[in-house]
Amino acid sequence: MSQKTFFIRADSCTGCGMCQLACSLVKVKEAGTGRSRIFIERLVMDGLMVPHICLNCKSPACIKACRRKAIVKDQATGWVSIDRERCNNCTLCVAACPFGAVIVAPDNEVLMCDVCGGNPKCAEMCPTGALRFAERDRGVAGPAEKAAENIFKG
Amino acid sequence: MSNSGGHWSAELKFAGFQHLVIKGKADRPTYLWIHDGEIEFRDALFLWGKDTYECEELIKDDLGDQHIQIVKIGQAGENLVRFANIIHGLKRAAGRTGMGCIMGSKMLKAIAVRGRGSLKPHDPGKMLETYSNHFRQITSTKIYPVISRYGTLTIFGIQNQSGMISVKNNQFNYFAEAEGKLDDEIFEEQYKTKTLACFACPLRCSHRYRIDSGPYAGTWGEGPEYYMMAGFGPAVGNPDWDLVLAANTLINRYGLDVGSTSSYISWLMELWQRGIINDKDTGGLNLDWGNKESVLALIHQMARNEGLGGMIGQQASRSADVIGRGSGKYLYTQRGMIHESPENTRASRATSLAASTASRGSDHLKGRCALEFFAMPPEVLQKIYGRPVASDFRSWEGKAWMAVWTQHFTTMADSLGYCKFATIYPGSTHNLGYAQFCETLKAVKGWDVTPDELMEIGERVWNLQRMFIRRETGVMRAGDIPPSIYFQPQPLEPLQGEKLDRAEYDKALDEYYEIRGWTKEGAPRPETLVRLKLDAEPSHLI
Repeated sequence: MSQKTFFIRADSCTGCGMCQLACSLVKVKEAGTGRSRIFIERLVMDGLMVPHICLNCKSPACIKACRRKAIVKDQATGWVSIDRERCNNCTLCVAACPFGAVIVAPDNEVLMCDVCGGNPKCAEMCPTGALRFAERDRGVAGPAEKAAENIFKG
Repeated sequence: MSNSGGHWSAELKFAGFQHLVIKGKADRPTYLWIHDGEIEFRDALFLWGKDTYECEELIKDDLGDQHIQIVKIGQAGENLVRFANIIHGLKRAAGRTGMGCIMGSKMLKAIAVRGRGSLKPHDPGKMLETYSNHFRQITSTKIYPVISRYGTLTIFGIQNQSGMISVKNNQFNYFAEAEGKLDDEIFEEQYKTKTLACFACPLRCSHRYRIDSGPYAGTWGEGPEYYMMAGFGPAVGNPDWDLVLAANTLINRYGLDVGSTSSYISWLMELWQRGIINDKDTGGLNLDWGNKESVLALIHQMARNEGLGGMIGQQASRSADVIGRGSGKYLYTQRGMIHESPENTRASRATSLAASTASRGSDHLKGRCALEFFAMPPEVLQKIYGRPVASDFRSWEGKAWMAVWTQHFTTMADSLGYCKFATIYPGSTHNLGYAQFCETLKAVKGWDVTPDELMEIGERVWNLQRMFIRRETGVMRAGDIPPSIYFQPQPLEPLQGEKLDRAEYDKALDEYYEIRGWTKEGAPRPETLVRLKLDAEPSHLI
């Protein structure tokens, strides 16, 4: 079965935050950015906008870092998610994630994207294609292991 | 009275505040730090004298957070330049009316905001659905591919080629030298480095740019808009992008207003052309049309309060009295504020009327009746405006109503926090309108409002502003007249010979007042205030 994940093109990101609002409305029924599972690093002086979202790595560093086995990867879909029953918000995964994609909410709860069952509203609401949800191997940006390099490709 | 796009207002809402009222003044440079429900006054001595770009970095370092949104003033505001702006980010500006000067007088250098809270909508599911629908609607209009690529720069070519631009302080109406040089596509190819957006907006009309070669190599910044392009292009007799961009960076760093700064510079250049001022007045600056170094020098002077530019910055429209020698004849003002330099819409009647009767005077944001320019069929116009409006922009038929309608519509868009470029304001009939405003209000607040009710709210705002103007300035009808140059014929094709006829204008103004329920002097009649439930408005509000 082919697996889908996110692809990021920072070059195309305008920093509008529509993905954050969409996420927040879907996940917590609020319009805001604090509890959104996608985070946009807005480096204003550099003119660089970098979306951070879980890329569902093949071999996730967050899983290795977690001492409570609270992060799981679904072998069929490839999606990584947090088991809220087991997580104690220690933030070891936040430190481990190479993409800065694990988010700490204002109340210190650790948040991670769960791809909304394969139908993420954030990617649908992205006006520029900076954030896409596509098949991992035949996808728009190649394999996810290359994601970090690809983020800054044109 | 001014507004601005960007991220700051959303951040303020997320920080738990809807409005800020700044009373009194500080005795030393201060900035405000607002975060998650708290407001802190902080020392801004280390920021005083810094430009807006430096300020952006210094505040973020001071507070140790890169995700703060900041509005601030540059040296222009500190030095009380009468047309200093409040700048947000690197380009977004609350312009025209000197709000930066007010902040400077309060010694308030900046307001930094960080909010991690959120808005609790009445119906989150409905809000998301409405938001998605409006997103699709905005991005499927014909104007979207253009505006998301070039922003307002695309207006320049249209205005110039229609003979509706101000060249050399409104002496001419078409600038041939700009053809093939000052052009949105050239900006895109040669200077643009990045596209950016305001919060939650798919239109992304902001651009980063960098100049790679020539005398201004290395200059970078964000912007520019049509007003910058026209104001530091034809208005000062310059056909080159490099000056437009160099001036844009300087103006945003200093926190000056584009329209006013370029208008005063083009006025000075006309005085120089006519021999009214000479190099003794300018301190040695040569003000020939298109002299780039002099244009930039005047900007430096205005912001730093030095020399001739400094005098202009401090005196604004009173500069004509300081210079004397008949210079006032070439200074085009309205309600004491200089006419926006790129704006030359005397050929289009509704826009002239609506911009001139706008509360702050000479205001394209409330006054631009863009649908007038496209010669739309009368049926389409009837459908939008609900009354007959002539297709020809040179006809007065129905234009008083078009002006009133546009003023209410733009006021509502501002009040609701919409960007006007996502609405039908810039000329796309398929963009958002009252119906979509109502859908959003229903989802976010749960209010059942109708388009007519929203229009009436716009009218109430408009009347309240008029009462404020009457109380504070007493200038009514006399302030509703366009600059004198609008009554002179345009010298060049296209639209050669077009002008406003004073008798026709007065007749249209009478009709406009009649529609509004105002007296011939331009004051709301008592029965109008009763109809709008403004008759009992507490005097401290009006």
